[in-house]
Amino acid sequence: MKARFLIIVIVISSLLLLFSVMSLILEKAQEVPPAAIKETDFSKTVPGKSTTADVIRINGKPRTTEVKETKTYFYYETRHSDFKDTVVFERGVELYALENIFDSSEANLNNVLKSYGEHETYYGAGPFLWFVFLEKGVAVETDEKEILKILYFVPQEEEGFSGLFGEELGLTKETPTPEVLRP
Amino acid sequence: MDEDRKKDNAVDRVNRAYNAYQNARSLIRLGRGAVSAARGVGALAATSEIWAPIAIALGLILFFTIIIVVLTGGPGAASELETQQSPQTSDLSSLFVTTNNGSAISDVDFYNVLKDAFSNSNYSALVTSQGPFKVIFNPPLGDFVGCQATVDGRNTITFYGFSNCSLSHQKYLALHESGHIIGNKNGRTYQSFPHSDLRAQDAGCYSRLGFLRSYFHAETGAGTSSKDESFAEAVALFLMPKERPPLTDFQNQCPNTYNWVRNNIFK
Repeated sequence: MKARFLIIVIVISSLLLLFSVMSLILEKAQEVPPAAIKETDFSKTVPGKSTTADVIRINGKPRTTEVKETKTYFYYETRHSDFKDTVVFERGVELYALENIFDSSEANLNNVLKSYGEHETYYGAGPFLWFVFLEKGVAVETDEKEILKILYFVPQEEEGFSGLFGEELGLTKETPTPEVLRP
Repeated sequence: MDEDRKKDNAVDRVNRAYNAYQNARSLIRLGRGAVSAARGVGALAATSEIWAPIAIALGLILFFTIIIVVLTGGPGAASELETQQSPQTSDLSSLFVTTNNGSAISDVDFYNVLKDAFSNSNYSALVTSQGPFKVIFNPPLGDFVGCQATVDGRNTITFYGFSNCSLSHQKYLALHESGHIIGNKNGRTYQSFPHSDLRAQDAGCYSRLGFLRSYFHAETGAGTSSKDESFAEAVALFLMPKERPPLTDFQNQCPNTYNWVRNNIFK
């Protein structure tokens, strides 16, 4: 009788505990935001090799295109209207790709620094820094906490990089002059 | 100024003591509840043999729940943490570090200029998210009458002739420049500022170049970025909604921009 009593107590306690834990788990699961919509993934194409057809096959057709001299620009929509993901081709072959990162789960600065090693620091047109991994053909725009953009390019020497991306994206190694004074 | 600071410290201490008193009272109430519940369970268990195991099981669950609530600090834990993270006036160096090159303004005076903003814990967390920002006070530039400011690098505000301006203008300049610091150090927040959308939604608030119209260079741009400047200007306008013509009713004239700042900077 005593054993039966104890078994009932244990079974009911276990069921109630299980129910409580399940409720908590379900509640937590509902708090998780829906998975971010990933518009493009430029890591799957290869600058210097991929063609316009390759890029379209992997990322779909761009929202708009533009031709400037020998270069063709593909622009893809992102979740923020201020930002466009961009792939640039020269004579039909990918020259570079610029992808905006809006979610920390897509790219982690510490992991990139750990994996790619030494980097050059550039200043961009905006308020953030660019860490450039010349030998890897990768650069990231960062506020030193998060990755905001990733640039994929053909691995190259510093001179070539500075020339191309100084012109294309306004990247420079020189400390930018202070902004205009505000009275 | 020192007296104000002492008063603020005293207020902080009183607040902490009051919070501790409230927490102690909550625990006592919880304990009384547990005793009453245990009595109830005992009474139930005594009435019927069938109900006894159920009552004991419920009692065990209640007991463990109370233990968990006590150990985790209960629902008040989050707000308590928030209170602890709020900046204390006694520790200005955690907010900003000044260099004074001949312009007579103390750290406490500068704190008071931004006091309304620092009183918001989210603003303070954003503006100091990678450590305190730097402030340099320089004499006026050339024969310029008044005060000027700029952000050097990503974390330094440089003022020229700061003490030459009215308190209101000092506040505007400091808020605007601190807006740049927030943007520079919090890329995700800056990224999420929907400048193009806000220009369309609050069309009357932005110049043809995309600057909020209260910004000094709104009609010329002066080589600056309309998104950068509008972000910083919106931070200033939120706390000075009636003082920056032509946007003298920021909340009603620019409701979408106002709401974005409220929900993302001063939340």
